[in-house]
Amino acid sequence: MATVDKKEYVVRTKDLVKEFTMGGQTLRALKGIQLDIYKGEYISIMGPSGSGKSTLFNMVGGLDKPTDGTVFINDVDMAQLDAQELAFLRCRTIGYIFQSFNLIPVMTALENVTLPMVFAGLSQDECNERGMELLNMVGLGDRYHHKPTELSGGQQQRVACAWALANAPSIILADEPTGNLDLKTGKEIIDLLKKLNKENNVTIIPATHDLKMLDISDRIVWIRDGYVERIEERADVQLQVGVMENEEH
Amino acid sequence: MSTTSANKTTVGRQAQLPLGRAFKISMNSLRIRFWRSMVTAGGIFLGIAFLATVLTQWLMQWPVAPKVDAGFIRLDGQINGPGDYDVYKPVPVEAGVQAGIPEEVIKRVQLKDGNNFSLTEIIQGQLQEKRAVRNLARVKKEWQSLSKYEKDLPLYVDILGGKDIKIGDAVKAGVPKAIVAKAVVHGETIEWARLFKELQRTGKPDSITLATALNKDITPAQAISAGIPKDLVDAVMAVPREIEDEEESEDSGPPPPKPGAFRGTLLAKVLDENPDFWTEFRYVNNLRKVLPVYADMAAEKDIRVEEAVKAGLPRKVAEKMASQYPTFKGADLIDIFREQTDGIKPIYLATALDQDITIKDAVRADIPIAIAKKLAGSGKAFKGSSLNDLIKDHPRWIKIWTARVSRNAIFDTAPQAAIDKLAKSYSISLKEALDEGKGPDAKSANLGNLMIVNADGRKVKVNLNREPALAAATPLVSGDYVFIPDINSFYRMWWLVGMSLLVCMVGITNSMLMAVTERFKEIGTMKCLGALDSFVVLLLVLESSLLGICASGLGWLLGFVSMVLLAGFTKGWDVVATMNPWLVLGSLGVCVVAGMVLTLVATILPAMQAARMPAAMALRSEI
Ligand SMILES: Nc1ncnc2c1ncn2[C@@H]1O[C@H](COP(=O)(O)OP(=O)(O)OP(=O)(O)O)[C@@H](O)[C@H]1O
Ligand SMILES: [Mg+2]
Repeated sequence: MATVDKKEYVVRTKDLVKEFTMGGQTLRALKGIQLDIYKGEYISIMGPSGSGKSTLFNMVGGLDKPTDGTVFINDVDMAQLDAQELAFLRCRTIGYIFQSFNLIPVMTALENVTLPMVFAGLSQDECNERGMELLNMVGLGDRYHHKPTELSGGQQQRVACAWALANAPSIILADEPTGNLDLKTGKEIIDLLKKLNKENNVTIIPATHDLKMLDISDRIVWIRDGYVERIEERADVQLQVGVMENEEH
Repeated sequence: MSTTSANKTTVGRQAQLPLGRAFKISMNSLRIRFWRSMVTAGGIFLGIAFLATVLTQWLMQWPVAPKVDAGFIRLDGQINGPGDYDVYKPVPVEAGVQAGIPEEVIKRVQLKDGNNFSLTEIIQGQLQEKRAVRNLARVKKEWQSLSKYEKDLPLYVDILGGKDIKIGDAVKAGVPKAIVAKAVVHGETIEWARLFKELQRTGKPDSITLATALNKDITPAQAISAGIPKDLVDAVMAVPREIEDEEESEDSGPPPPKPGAFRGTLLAKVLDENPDFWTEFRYVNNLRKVLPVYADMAAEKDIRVEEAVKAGLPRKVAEKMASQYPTFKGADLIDIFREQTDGIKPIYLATALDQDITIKDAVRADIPIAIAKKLAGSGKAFKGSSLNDLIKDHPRWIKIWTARVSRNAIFDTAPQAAIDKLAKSYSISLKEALDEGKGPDAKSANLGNLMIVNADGRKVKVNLNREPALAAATPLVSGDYVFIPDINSFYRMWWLVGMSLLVCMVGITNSMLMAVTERFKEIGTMKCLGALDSFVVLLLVLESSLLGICASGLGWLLGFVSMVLLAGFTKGWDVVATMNPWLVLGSLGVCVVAGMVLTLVATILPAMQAARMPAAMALRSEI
């Protein structure tokens, strides 16, 4: 903990509250989340289904507005940003990976990957060059002209990883990136994320049920019912993971 | 929070994408969703096609003027229905005399007031005279060839009608004697009516048979005293009255039998139907032979001479009748014609046999081709009977046209120069014509789009709303056709266009709404990747306006071409040629702009809704 203290924060949330109102009924999905995430950290968000992981993820990624509390990205209050600044943030600072990939079905892999670069204002040639680079990195260089429907789930998620990396973001938010994948492909994605984390010093924030994630996380945030239940260092969970994995097999 | 404002500067602002990039992306999107886009485009296409037909029709200078008689103008449309009016004002008698119109002519066309005369009537009179001369010549010429048939055709039409024909008439009409003789033998019958008269006159057969023939009443006592067995009489009396009534209603002549009596024909009927009643009585046996003949008479059939004699009519009487009235049925002659056609013209034969006469045959038989064609109508042949009708008409027409020629001959004496001179100075102006023709509906006349069509086909559009002074300054000439459109039909047309565009817009909005909701997830993703709200709107708007332009351009083409073809084939290509090419281009512009506006209005709301939605929500939606 002591070593991490010296690092700068990338994401901080303060008393983050999110309420959903449906038919007069108010549902508190987040009940005051306090979370500090350091630069270059691999921090998994764990919790049972319905605990509010995706909701937190959306708040942090600037995809939705919190009911109360603040989210700071690189010490900037998200609530203070106007639409253009928010778009800038989404485009260059944060990369998103979704459980259901969310690739644009009508575009080829390359077109999908280059889309964020187009929004970042890169020229077509730069886009194509960097897009191919990224696709090669995720091992799909030869499939660039395939549409998402022509790719397997793991391949799609790898395209999505390349997508998230397009504009060299400092944060990657991944909402259950392995949720729709089998063990082996899930592992590949996890390895890819870890590689990015190590080599590019990208902050990786996956929300997940996948215990394999625990193995490589620097820290694990346990969320239950919209509260941060506990935050564990990797060393603390090492043992537990072994036990759980044994149970699984 | 104090750090926030200072740090804000570290976040850049996302720039709007260049239009070229956006354009490329939307083109791509359209290409990929080709069929869905085509459905949306189809809605615009049809709506604009309708608008284009209306616009095109509007650009063409309808209507096609009908021919208006010399000396008249016709006001048509929303003024008082189509109506013809004198194009010339009343001309003072002195002016006419001065111009050189003979006084007798003026007298003929003098108006009631006595001081003026009608120039139109002189012109009409001249025209009528010319027409009458022409027609008389034509009818006379036709008659030269037709009169040959005047005598004969009626006979053959009679044959066709199955009427009785006198031998003398047939021979006179050219039917060979041998054929006539054959026909008479063939039809050797006595007509019931004559036989009747004969029976009444001579009174020779006994009273019962006579009563039967005359359909008179017989009392049972009378019958028994005449030797008819009692059980037979009883049987006749037992026949229900209804049956008798039925017999009667067919006859429809005599009143119902008196109570206690029966009709003579009933006796014949009962005898016929009940052979068991035949007894050994001599008289009844006699009746058996005789009664059917008399029953036939009552039924108005023809009876053979031999049968009549057998039934008791004195041979002398029967033969006298047959020779005194030597007639035969037309139908018999037809049968013989069929077997033996020597010496009869095919045209007569065709008439007699009620066959069609082709135009070619008719012409070969000397019937003028004009007449043959007229009788045949749209077909190639006609029936002999219609030729007969026409022949009956011809002498009447000759009389009529002769009378018209002599009646109008006087107008020929008016010199043309004089008429022209008067026509120039006494023709009415457009304003006078409009005042004259003003009816109760005149209020809804669209004076802004008035059209004058000259007798030679020249068309002039006048806008009296903009230049009211033109009305008094525009002189009309003989044969002018003035069309005043209906302002309501104008509004109605635009209302229709408006409604159809509205319906079209609702359709497009619907399909645009679907297109946008279908892409919520895609839009959410794009926003995650850094797309601005305005970019999302731009993308959708670009997409739909591309569709709008193409679809409305094609829609215009469809509407324009179909209207042009329709007008060309139904009203003539000269109507199509009246369109101003610049205005045609303008209509294309109007259509394209209308199509764009429609699609933009339909798109902008769903697009804004999609763009404003938080990215998280858009991502969650599954469509
Ligand atoms: N848009 C929304 N409208 C209403 N309720 C919502 C909405 N989004 C989330 N919720 C509610 O908030 C709670 C937290 O949901 P969330 O999706 O964050 O859970 P999660 O931890 O991601 O679960 P899972 O592991 O199944 O993805 C749930 O009870 C959910 O019903
Ligand atoms: Mg979730």
